[in-house]
Order: sequence, then C-alpha cells, then structure tokens
Amino acid sequence: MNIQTEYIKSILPKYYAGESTTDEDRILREYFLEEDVDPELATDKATFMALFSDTTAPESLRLKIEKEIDRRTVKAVQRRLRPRYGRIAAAAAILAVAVSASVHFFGTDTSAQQISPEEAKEHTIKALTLLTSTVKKGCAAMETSAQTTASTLQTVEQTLKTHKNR
Amino acid sequence: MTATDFKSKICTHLDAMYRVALVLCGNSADASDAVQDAAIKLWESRDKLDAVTNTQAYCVAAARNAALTLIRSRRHAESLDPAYPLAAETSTEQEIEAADTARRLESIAATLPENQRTVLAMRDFQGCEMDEIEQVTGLSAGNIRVLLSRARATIRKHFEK
Repeated sequence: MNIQTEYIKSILPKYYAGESTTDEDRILREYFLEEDVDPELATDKATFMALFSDTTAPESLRLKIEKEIDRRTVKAVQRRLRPRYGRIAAAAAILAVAVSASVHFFGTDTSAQQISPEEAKEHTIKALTLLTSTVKKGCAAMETSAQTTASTLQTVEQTLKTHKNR
Repeated sequence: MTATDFKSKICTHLDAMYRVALVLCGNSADASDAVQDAAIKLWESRDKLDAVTNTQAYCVAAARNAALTLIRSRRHAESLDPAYPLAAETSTEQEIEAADTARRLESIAATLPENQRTVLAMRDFQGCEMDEIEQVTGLSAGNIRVLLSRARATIRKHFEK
C-alpha cells in the first residue's frame, strides 16, 4: 500500500463522519477522480464519481440557455433602436402638419405677411435639415431619418401644389 | 461582455451547476429549471463577472440559490394545492447515456431528506466552511456534521456490492 492510499484510507472515515476539513474533502475528490485507485476503494470511487464527475448537464439544457441568451441580446438591440424611429417619425409628422397648416392659413391671407411657396419650401428644408443633423448616430437611424425627410418633403410639395392651383 | 464570451464562460461550469441543482432538487426537471434561472440571472448581472476570481464557485452559488428558490416555491404551491403535480422527467435519445448517470444521482438524491441535500450541496459542491453553512441554514455545527455523515453514508450504500 503506497503512502497516498494510506493517507486516503485514514481520512475517509472522517469524511463519512462529516468531520473532514474542506482541504481533506478536496484531496479525496482529486484522488477518486483519477484513473488509478486502489481496488479496495472501488465503492468509494463509484460514490465520488457519481457526485462529482459522471453526472453532466443535458445537452438540451445547454442549447436552451444559449438560445435564451441570443433572444435577449436581439431584444435589447431592438429596444435601443425603437425609440429613435418613433421620435423621428413623430417629429417629422408634426412638422408636416405645421407646415401644411401654416401654408393653408397664411396662403389665404392677402396681407403683407404673405410668403411665397418657394420661401415656404426653403423654410421647411432648413427645419428638416436641422432635424436630420441631430440624429447622426447609426447608419440605420440616418437612413430612416432620410426616408422620413423625403416623405415629409413630398407632403409639403403636394400642399404647395394645391395652394398654387387655387 | 458579449454573448459569445458569456456563453463560453458559463457553459464551462454548467455541469457543476447542474450537479448541485440535482442534489438539491432531487429531480432532473427541477434541476434544469434551476440552472436555467441561474444562467439568466448571471446574464443579467454579467458586468460583475469580470471582477469574479473564482467563476465556478460563483456560478455554483447562483445555481444553489436558484434551486433553493425553486424548492421553496414548489413547497408553497404544494401547500396551496395538495394535487400539485410533481415535475415530470424529460429525456431525449441523444442524452440516454448521460441521463442514466444523472438518474442514478437523481434517484439517490431523491431519497435524502431536504436538509441533508442542502448541507451536502453546500459542503461538497460549493466547498463551504462550517460557519458559512451554519449561517445559511441556521443549524449548529454538530447538526451539520450529523446530516453530512448520514447523506454521504446513504450515497455510499447505493454503490456497495
């Protein structure tokens, strides 16, 4: 019997009595998870193997956790982008309504405050340029902003055409 | 920390997390739920992981806490509804070999009273010192030694030929 096995056999009773130290527990664990164990200690080896080695997490659990992490990552990115789109669209819509309303009301007024359709268009472009310059973060936000700007300009153009035709 | 870094860091310790959860819960379905809950909580506080020196101990502690929370909630549900069903076991064809081994530990752990499972999980899987186990369980050192002794002896009996 070698010294190591002798030592293991001396601390095993302490382990089963609940009186071993954490260091002794660790030594026992390391010994029994090795291949070369005294045949007399076969039962103890099976015990330690069942507790510390043989049992592994199911593969389905591993995949489930990875899938959930991926889902949460995508959701977090979507949540970060959504408010920008909403604010840009809301600001552009308010601007389009404000410009259309002011063109309608100021257009019918024959007083000295009357502005030309070209001036109205110039003011609108300036306002929208200011809007787009404040949302420079991210190519996606810029693209959405440009699209919204283009559609808002379209709305303004249509409103001006309607005013010209009166 | 990116999702890739997190997955590689945590999945290394998944087996250890599962074992402690299995011993505590006594069945594989609850153990899997507990480990999943623990993994999500670790993800939500992933910024703290870089500062942790012993990641395995940290993950095993998270699994232990999740398992204890699950046990308490099951106990509460059972007290409200005596017909509350026990968690069903699940296994797939690819996991049969691993499942057989896991079931052995599962079936052994299921025979242990809850206080023995708790003390065994804290001492053998987390390496907790006696004073820490006393603090968490409220048991005396003497009681803890007796519970440990009984749990370890019961498990060994299953492997005697």
